[in-house]
Amino acid sequence: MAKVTLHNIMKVYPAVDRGEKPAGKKNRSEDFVAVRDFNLEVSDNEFIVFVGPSGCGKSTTLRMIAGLEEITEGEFYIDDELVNDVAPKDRNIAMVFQNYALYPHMTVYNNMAFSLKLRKEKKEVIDQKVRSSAELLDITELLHRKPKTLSGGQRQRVAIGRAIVRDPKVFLMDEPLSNLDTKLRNQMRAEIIKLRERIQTTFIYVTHDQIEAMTLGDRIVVMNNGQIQQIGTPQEVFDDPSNLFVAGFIGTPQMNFFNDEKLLLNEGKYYITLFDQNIELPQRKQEILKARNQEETDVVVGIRPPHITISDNGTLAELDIIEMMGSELHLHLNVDGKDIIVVTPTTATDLSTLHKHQQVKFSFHPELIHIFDKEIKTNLFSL
Amino acid sequence: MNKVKRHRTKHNFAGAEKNSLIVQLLLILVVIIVSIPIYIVIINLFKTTDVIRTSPLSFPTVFSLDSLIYVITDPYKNIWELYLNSALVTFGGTILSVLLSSMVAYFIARSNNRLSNFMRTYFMLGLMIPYILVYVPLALLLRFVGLMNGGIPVLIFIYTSNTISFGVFIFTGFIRSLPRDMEESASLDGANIYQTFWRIIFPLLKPATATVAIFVGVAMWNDFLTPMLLGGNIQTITTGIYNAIGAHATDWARVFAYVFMASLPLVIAFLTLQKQFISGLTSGSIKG
Repeated sequence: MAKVTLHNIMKVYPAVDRGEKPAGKKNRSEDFVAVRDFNLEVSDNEFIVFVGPSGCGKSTTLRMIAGLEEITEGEFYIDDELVNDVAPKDRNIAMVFQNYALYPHMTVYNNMAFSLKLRKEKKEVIDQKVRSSAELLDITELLHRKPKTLSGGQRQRVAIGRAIVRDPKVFLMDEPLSNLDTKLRNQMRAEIIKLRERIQTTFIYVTHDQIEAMTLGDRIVVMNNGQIQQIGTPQEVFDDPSNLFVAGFIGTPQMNFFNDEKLLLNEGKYYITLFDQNIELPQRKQEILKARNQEETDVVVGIRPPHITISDNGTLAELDIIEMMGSELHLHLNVDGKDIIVVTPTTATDLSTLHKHQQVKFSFHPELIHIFDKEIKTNLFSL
Repeated sequence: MNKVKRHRTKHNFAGAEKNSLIVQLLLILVVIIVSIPIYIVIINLFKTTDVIRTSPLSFPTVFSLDSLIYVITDPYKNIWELYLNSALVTFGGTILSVLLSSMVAYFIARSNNRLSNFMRTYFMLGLMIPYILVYVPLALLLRFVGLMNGGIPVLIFIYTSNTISFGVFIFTGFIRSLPRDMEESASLDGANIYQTFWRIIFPLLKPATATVAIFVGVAMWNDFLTPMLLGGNIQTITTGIYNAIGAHATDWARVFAYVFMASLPLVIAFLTLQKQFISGLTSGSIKG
């Protein structure tokens, strides 16, 4: 249990360290900034998830928290204690690695007991801690086996067991489920949720999988290009994405974007142009825009696929593709060459009435649309 | 067109067969060349010196093990002492070489600074310099520091320094192929660099350790020149052969008995541990 504070954290890899020999001033490669201006406060027992595409700096940040990477600039506190220069072993942090990183020559028991042995704990204490952690994770019968004889899921449990046996202040997980198949991943995800309820500690979890982020996190930190794009609860991030990147990254299928649209102001009321119509924005959104004295501007309009419905009235489109996903249907509509995806529950649609190249009408509720400044890409409804 | 094709295929097939025949003949030739010394040792083991002198390559007509028994029971030169010296030198040198070279390799493989780069080049140079070239400077150096008759410890020291480059070469490649996650995990678990090396990395180096131990161990056991030139009063089983060579006469029967006794432990080791030897050699080379 601990409070974690990251203040203006920055990570820079010098060009030389990256093995890129400068071949002269002209070709000299620039230093690479992996993480910049990273500010975050994680409270006691909170489950924070860093999510973002590959190379966005989420793992680097986690490794800086673990002490495996040096922090180039900024301050990192655990419980108000500055730990920038504290060795990983003295931070009382445990980490679960993507590739499990189990010690292959040791049994599961010894893998779990390793850190306790290094701390010179009494044999009985080690035994008691290892066995209770093994029980918690249902791996007691594996204690005398070597990692190579275990399945991926079992190895992951052992890796988690090895981390919890130490009773760490902060629990770090670096894409722990990405090596598992889909079924096992779903199962392990549920187990992590249960585990989190049983062990009271602060979790920082890194993933590129937004479903993991949405289901596990109390709060999500969405990252891109080494910078935080948004911090918020899964609901906040989904309902109120702070910019175009977050809007596109969170949510499957991706949000439908309509570029080249305009935000108009007419007689004190805001409208957006969409499908050759001027759509008046609902009262709540009007107030937000009024409060910030928003002027007319070029915007990108975003609508999430589940927020569009096939209806008797609305805009006319051609049905291009029908994807049957089980519980839901993904319909690809074509409006003047623009592809729009609609997600609708299978139970609400009679599949036999839908055919390729059929003309359909669709509508959406103006309350559920998002508007982004075309220039600076921020959400105009964000407060 | 078809005809031509078929003809060509036939021709190629015949060519391949011819090639494989040549390869087989060459291999047979190699086997014969390798077998000749073994044959000479074995047949002459059962002969007396007089018979060896007159007909060294003939098969023995009378089988006598007198020379072998004499060498084993010689009251003036205890063969078991020679074995002990060889074993001490070989095991001492091998253990030290494996330990030191694996530690150096860990540093070279895992750090990227001027010192590690210098050390990598330094040890690679050690691989390139022929062993035979260093005897004279080494003898001068030993005399200078007063270790010319230093006995077994000096031999162990020489062997270790001679083989460490090879060990570093094999271990560095192997360590580079190991994922860093385990070391990072160990550091979070509370291990310092020594604990990480000895408790996590070193046990994982088993295949490379087997390769290095086999190569350097066999080389140390078989070596004749170093104990002969620099061993002082210490005789190993290989230099023991010289006990049968006098200033005026050579007792060839005893020479062959010594040669046989010197080879015996390695032959037994190879025959009993064949599987481990081969897996040690190949796994080291693949991972390295």
